[in-house]
Amino acid sequence: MRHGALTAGLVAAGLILTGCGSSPTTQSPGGQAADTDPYAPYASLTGQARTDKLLADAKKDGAQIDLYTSNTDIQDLVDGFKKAYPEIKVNAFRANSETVLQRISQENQANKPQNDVVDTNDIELRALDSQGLLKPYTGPAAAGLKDAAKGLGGWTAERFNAFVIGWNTNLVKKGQEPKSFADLADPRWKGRLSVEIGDWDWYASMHTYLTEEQGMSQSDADDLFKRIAANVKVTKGHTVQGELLSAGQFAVALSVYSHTVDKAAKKGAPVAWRPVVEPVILRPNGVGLMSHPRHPAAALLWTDWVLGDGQKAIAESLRIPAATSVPGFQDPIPAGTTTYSFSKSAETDGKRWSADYDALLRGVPKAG
Amino acid sequence: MALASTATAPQGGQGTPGTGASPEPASPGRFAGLLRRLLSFQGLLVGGAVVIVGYLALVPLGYLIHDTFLNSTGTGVSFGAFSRAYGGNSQAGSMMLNSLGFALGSAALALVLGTVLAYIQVRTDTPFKGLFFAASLVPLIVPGILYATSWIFLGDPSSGVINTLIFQPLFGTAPVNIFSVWGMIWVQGLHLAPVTFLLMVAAFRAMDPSLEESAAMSGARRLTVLRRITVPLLRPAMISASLLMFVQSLESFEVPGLLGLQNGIYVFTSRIYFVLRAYPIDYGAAGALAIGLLVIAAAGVLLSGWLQRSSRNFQTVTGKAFRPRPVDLGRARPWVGAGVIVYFLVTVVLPVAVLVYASLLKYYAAPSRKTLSSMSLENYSEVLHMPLAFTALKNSLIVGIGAATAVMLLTSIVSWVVLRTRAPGRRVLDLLAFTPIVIPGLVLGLALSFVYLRMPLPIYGTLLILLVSYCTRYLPYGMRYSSAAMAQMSPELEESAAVSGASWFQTFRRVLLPLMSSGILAGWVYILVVSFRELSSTILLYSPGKEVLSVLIWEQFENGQFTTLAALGVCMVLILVLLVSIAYRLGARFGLQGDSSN
Repeated sequence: MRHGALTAGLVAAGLILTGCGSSPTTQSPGGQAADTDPYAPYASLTGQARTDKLLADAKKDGAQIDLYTSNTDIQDLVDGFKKAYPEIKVNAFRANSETVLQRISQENQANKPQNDVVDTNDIELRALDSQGLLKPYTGPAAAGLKDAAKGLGGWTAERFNAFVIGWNTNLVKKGQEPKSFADLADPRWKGRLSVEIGDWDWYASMHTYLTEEQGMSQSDADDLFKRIAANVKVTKGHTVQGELLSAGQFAVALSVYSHTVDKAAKKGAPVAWRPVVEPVILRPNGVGLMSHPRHPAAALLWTDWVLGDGQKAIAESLRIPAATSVPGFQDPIPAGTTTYSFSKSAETDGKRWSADYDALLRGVPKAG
Repeated sequence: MALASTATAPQGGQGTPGTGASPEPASPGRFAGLLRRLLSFQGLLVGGAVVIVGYLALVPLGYLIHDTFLNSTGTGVSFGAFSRAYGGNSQAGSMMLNSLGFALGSAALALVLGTVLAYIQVRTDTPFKGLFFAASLVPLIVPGILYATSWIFLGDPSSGVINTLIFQPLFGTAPVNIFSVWGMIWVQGLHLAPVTFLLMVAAFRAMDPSLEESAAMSGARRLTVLRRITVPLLRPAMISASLLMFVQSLESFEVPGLLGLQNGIYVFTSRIYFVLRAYPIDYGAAGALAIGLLVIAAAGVLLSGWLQRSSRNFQTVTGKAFRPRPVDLGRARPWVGAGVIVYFLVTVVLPVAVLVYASLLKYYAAPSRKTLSSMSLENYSEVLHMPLAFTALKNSLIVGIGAATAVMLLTSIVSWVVLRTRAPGRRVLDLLAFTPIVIPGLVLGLALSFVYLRMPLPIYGTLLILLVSYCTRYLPYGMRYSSAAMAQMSPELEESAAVSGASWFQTFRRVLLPLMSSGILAGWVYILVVSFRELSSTILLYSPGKEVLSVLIWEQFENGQFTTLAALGVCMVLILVLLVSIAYRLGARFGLQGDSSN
């Protein structure tokens, strides 16, 4: 017994201590990435021949696909795909984007990849790509996409989320709406603005936009944010933020998704985000093919569909599709509006942006 | 862990549980004899439970410590994580003070409320006893995020219903502000009071009122009896409850996140939240913060052990039979009854009414003629049409009942080891079983996926890994419930059973477990209920087809469907209340006193 317990304890401790010799987040499965491309056999195929071949092979592989996603409207896509290919079963793991990234990293470090396709936010996709876990999509559907959706490395944008400034129309009368981001520093907004505690990526984009696109100096941009921060109430979670905005708990939300406001407005809530306060921050959300899929044909079939016919389902859930033209889709962002997407610098500095945003909200000087 | 089991084994082998291990005389056959005893049923059972508990607690702890102290090159020990977590502009000191104030306040409020209620429920002839059942469950069932949001709608200084419908018309002021430290303590305290209530009901049940009666007969006044007899006798349970609630408040972020942030009240966990939201995640800093909490929790466990050091003082369950007789409240009865109604209104009716109200709307708005006319059951039909609703309910039930049962069985054995033997290392074991309470859920999830992805057993990707995760997470709670119950048990019961020829296992099963059953059932109910809303580790560990209810809740939440979420919350309250009443009925059949009756 003595030895049994001791051994069990040592095994448990040893397993942990020796096993994670490297940081769990950064390592990619060493050496394994160099092997053959599982998608190569289908690269030259197009049209019906491609679809037929993919479908046939997908059925041979077990007629299912393992999808990891943080897309909250994924059910619309799953339903649409099922209608197109009723034979293929979709196993969707749904979680927040951080968790999707953690799960894939963990599984690949253990050399037990469990998913074929990933559908999540740009930051996480970039991280997965930098670990060598994704294979670029080169299929026929790429031709129909906007330029901003392509050339992103191992992943392809399938839709865009728009961060906008939204307000409660009972509390902000017509004509009183904020005209520009800098307006929000006005003391008349004191206690009437809201930001979300985890939105450092929004902060990073907005800050970079001000310095890189508007030519503001770093210190001017910092100063503007500080004056705005003096007016804000901090809340936690976009859903609560959206619900409290509808309920009139504050007048303006600085970083809400356009589709959140649009969905609420459709149900009759007194909220709006147009006329647009520029810039609208566009965040690409994308689909990535895994380097080590268990069902490669099904993975391609899914990606072909999502970037092709599936774009309609994306438009119907009030998101902004990545395809240049989707029948019946009306872009919620008025023509001529300034939009901005993450600069490349944001991905490497996640830690710094997050720390700066934290410091801004607490009203303390930046670290370092 | 290893230490503890080595020492319990020879002790167990003596066949006289409860008296502690005496040094074994050295003899040639000693090793063989030891081996034989170890392989006895008792040795296996006790040793097995100790090993499992130790293993459950060590896996995440080892992972946490490894990530915290490993330096960036992965070759040596470093304390850099601590300076990243506590140094610079982190305001760690003031945040810690905020956290401590909030946690102490909430724990104190919950302790007072829960104890008073438990006393009224068990020991008086108050009317409306049935309401206690709901009051002890509903705040536990409603997910923290919904409970806190309900209170925002109730207590917002400008638009809250309490201010606009009650104070404004009657007094012309709006004094209630939920976005303050007092508001936070109020909501957290109410949310936690059921934990104390469940623990204290069990403790009062196991207490012989004749001790109080004799004090009263000897001329002690009512207050003196309370101060000198009742409170001291309940010390183990009260200490357990305070410790649990204090550490849980320190570790939670729902209430401070929703209510505190609005006015810039930052707590310790907001640091952890920030660290875990960034990419790449600084696991070292997160670990350093968790270890800070761990130190506080460890101090708490040691303090509670010290406070209970003279354990004979609390042993109220002795060989003497007793039957708790309710105190006749006399003229105070209507007042107490009114108090019960008020408490029930405030903790159950108000928040649930907000949820029900929200679940009938398309989007939340303060009550008006317009909103009342637009009410519909649409959200409920949406819940019923969720493709995964029934799978998730089934899986939640399996994992919840499994975890509650496993934890209570394990911890009742382990609490016996901790309280009844003199095994060296038993304090360490007690401490170890408490550590999971401060480990952030995400870190627990990572530790488990790390271990089970590398284990040949088919655990990863099944419901089993959720079961392991819940068992780990709720181990500290089970341990507090069990040891509070065990501390009231006098060893003379075990001794007389042993004298009458009962084996250790017979004694444990036929004497100890039934006598502890009130406490064990309370812990079981608690774990079952809270496991329904565990998300932070679940979200990383579940697999497609193995969804549980909290994943669905998260999905609705993430999707911005607050009103649908409210409908789901109402359904959950109904299901769990039904489930727990069945559990109490079954418990009553097996010789337990039901909580709703009595």
